[in-house]
Amino acid sequence: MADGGGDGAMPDPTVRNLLEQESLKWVFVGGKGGVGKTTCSSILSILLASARQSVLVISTDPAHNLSDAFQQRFTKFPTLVRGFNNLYAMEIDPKVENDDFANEGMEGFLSELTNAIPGVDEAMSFAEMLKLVQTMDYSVVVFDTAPTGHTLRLLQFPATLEKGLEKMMALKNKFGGLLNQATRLFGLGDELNEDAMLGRLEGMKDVIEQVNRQFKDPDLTTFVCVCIPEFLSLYETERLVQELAKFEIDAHNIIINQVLFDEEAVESKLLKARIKMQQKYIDQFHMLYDDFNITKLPLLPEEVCGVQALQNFSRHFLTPYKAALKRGTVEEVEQRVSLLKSALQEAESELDRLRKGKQVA
Amino acid sequence: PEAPLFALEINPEKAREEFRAASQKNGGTGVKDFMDGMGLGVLAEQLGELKLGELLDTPPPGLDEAIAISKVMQFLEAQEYSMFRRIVFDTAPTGHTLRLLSLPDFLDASIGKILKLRSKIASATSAIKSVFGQEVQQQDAANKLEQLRERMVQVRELFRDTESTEFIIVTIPTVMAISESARLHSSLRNESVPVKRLIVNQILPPSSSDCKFCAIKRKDQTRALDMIRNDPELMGLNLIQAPLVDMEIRGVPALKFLGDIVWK
Repeated sequence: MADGGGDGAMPDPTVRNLLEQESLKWVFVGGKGGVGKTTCSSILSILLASARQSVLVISTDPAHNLSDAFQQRFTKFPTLVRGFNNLYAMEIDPKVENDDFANEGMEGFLSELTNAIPGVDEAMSFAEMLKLVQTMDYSVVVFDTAPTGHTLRLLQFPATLEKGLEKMMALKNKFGGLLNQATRLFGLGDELNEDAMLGRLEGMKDVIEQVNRQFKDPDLTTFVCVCIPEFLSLYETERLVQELAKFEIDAHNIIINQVLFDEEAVESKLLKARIKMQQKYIDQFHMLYDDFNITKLPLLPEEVCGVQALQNFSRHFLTPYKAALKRGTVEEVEQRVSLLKSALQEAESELDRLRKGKQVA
Repeated sequence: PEAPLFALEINPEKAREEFRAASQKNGGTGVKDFMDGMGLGVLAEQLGELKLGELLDTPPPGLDEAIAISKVMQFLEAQEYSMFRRIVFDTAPTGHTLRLLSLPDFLDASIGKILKLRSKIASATSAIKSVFGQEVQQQDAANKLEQLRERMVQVRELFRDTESTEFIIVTIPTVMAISESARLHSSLRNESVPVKRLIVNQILPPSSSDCKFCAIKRKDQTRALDMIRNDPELMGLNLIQAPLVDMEIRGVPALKFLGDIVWK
């Protein structure tokens, strides 16, 4: 896999490398459910909009959180995001349109067979969307994907479809004459326009071939893995990275979300324990993915929701987060002393009350 | 009481291998039988040369859900599974859960279409064969599809049986997650799936010494919990709060610990 920072360069602790890669056309953002994929894909699309001419962000997750993240209703057609002039968003509807497969004759046959296989309707919708997006000429397309297992299937589907269409063309070549006779006997001769149908299939095949090649080109396509510093997420990220490598899809950025940093505002014993637990997995991430660009995002006390909050949070994608006060600095120690003095006073007051209580008894 | 507990993880890769092995074992008999039933046995043999099985190397999205359904059917039919008093499905995230729940309907309709196509093609080929004085009927494959369809109806009814089935929604206390849960409940209601409980996970527990971070986070979580109480989709559900704890919940003892809190 390509080294994001170039030969010999240290891995980038930010996603700047994605903004600087001007050839990039397809960006997939994926990971386990609940790790903040949608927040990350939303912010990535905002950042890309500041660096590229036009950006489209697409949700392929049937749960569709994109509308929640931007707090704006999106549909299956690209909609301009409020506050931007070059950022568009859409959410894919799993129901496949009948446009290309009008329900008549042999085409109806194909449509019915297609819909008879679970999941293929969604994959066909994905393929249709790819074709649509190709003609719209966005500089870069960001996919807010479904959780891991499903995403891997969708990513592979262009290759599957390409193979399927190859089989179909082979079928035509082998049985073309018989097919003609059969359709006449079925009484479909007048309705069926074989050449038109095959023309559409060939057209789709060309688009899918092109997209399939692009998905395997690290200059054009990359996958950004989003995770949180916990065991299950680390395990699933490893599975995702392995599968992507098998599919020849580039991945060299990992975003670790919901990180607790050791800073002044974080004092409770509970959070201290969680910081310690998280650090174990953050260390493992760095060990496992020493050539990846790893961006660490802080867990904020407040939810990141709405364009303004997304904009504010986006700075952590470009500059590594710094804790409010570094341990060991004069200011930090002074603050700690102040906190300890307050705690001491409180304890002394409590001791006095207890002593008085004891005397009375 | 320490009742025995078993676990099963669905593995699509393994299921795919089993499917391919079964196909090879029968020499594609299943498909051939089906096409024989339509009078197209010769065509099936020629199709074999195209190695369509290669398409299975990359199974379509939705395979996980289809396998889960087959497991449900197995539980319904196999005697060995009758020993389980309760069966718990850990489902995929929201979107795919909805697909799972609607899959029996989808497959029911799909099988109906396949059988209809079969009848249509079979009658056409019968007409052809009648000219040559030949009349063959092959019902086995079609009968199997009918059986499968009946089982789909059973599964669909099971998913909507208020006496024996419950769907439990799990979320975290953020606006986005609760919005998603509301949409999920709406979809489940439309599907007539029984839902009674909502678990909100990762709640900051009460503390006598709140730090600044916890105070703000708690306020944020309270806003989310208020959202639940005011949401028409969710307000009617029994709300269960699960705390965020200082250790990782992995392994049976830790799971028991949290389970005792949530299911008390």
